Amino acid sequence: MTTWPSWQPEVLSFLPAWLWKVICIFLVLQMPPILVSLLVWAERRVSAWIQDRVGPNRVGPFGLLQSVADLVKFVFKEDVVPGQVNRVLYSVAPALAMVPGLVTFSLLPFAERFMVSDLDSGLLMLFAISSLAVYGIQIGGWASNSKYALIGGVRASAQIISYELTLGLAAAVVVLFTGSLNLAEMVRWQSETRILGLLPAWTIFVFPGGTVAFVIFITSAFAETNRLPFDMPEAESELAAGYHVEYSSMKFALFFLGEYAAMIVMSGLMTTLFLGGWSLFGLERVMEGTIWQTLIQTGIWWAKTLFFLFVFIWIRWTLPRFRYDQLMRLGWKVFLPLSLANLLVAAWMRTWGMWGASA
Amino acid sequence: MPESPVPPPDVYVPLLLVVLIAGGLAAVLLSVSTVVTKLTMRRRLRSPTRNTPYECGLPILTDARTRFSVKFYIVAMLFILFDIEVVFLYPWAVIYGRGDSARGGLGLGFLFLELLVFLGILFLGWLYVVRKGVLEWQAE
Repeated sequence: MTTWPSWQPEVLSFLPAWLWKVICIFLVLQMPPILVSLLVWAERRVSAWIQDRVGPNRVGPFGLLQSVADLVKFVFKEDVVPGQVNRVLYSVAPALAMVPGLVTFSLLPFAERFMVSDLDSGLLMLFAISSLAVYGIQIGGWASNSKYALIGGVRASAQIISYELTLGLAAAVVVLFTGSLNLAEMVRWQSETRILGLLPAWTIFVFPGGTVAFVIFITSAFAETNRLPFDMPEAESELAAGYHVEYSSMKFALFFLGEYAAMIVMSGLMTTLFLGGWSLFGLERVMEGTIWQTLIQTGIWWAKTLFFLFVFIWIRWTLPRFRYDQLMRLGWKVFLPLSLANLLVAAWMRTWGMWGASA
Repeated sequence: MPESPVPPPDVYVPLLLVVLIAGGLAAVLLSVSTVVTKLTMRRRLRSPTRNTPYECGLPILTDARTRFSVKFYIVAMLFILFDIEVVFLYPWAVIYGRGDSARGGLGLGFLFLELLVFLGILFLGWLYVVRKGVLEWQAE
């Protein structure tokens, strides 16, 4: 086997490899709670800004501690378990909805030397784990034994599995370009290949195969995470709150956490697959191997991901909701054939010319 | 680019650790609210309406677990069929993307032709589903 740097920043190379992994796990597991609480605050502030209101600004500077106040409230709310529910499944469902969100976090490549698990089957593993969240939603909806919850759960699962197809087909285009399922390898390919000898071959720039795949992917990501304009599973005006209508206190918080974590993971996946991950026009190679490089790469990765998170919020407060039959028609009758055709186009480009990017 | 620097078990162990930690966290969070509720509520509030499902205050007439549209089941079945085919595309995409299939004697042209045949069959299946009207969600 070839000798290879232990994949930790040089300053920390005195640490045994397992200890660095433990540190990575520790750092990465801090991210979802912190980000979700920031995101909830950002969502309310941005929505207020879009609707010309003020939004929460009382708790802490700019209302930044609003989420802490929310958390305290979640903990001290009464944990109501209605009489009609199936008790075991009712309690398990929130955990099933949250755990995949946290676990998929650990598969994301934040920087070249800052990854929890650098799997060769990374993309498949990520899809496999993230699609388990549908069990939490469906079981929660069914175990609640309430009409709103049941309809919400059934709608959610049908919607999520429908768009998983197009999500997978769009991601297959990136696999086709890079020839790898390893997420870090995909980022390396995107940063090292050049289009027209100049532009880095971020998949989104590889027109038309990559660009169309990105459009399909981002739309499917909205449907996957049950966000507006595709939030039929929890449409307030129809189903009150959808699958978590019977949940309260921390159980509700877990659903919430899982949903937002999934949203962050989807944004991160878009960054990684289509926007060149940690790379930014050569900036990612500055101070090779040092801890500064790791920090810069992580910073670039998060900047791109935060941009996508802003897009998620932005679109939620700008577009109206689709109807369910429109959603299904879009997924099965438009996106499915489109993504199949796009795959063909991408495969053609891969071999017979990709704006000068080497095949 | 070099091969994976660490053997497979070492790559999967961190992931397993994260699964365990996340599961433990979920268990702790779930029990926290139950315990806090037990400690802070001296007298459990009980009333018949408290134990009924939420329906915006209307009296409950029927059980929630009644029949609903078969469309959802059909979508689930179609998903399994199509998703398996998408999964079959992944190994193909990896081999095609590496572009080194010439070693096996088959050119990229042949691989492209294979995709064409595969997608053609997939497309026929999709066409059948659409023509059967399975994906029509409007009420008859």
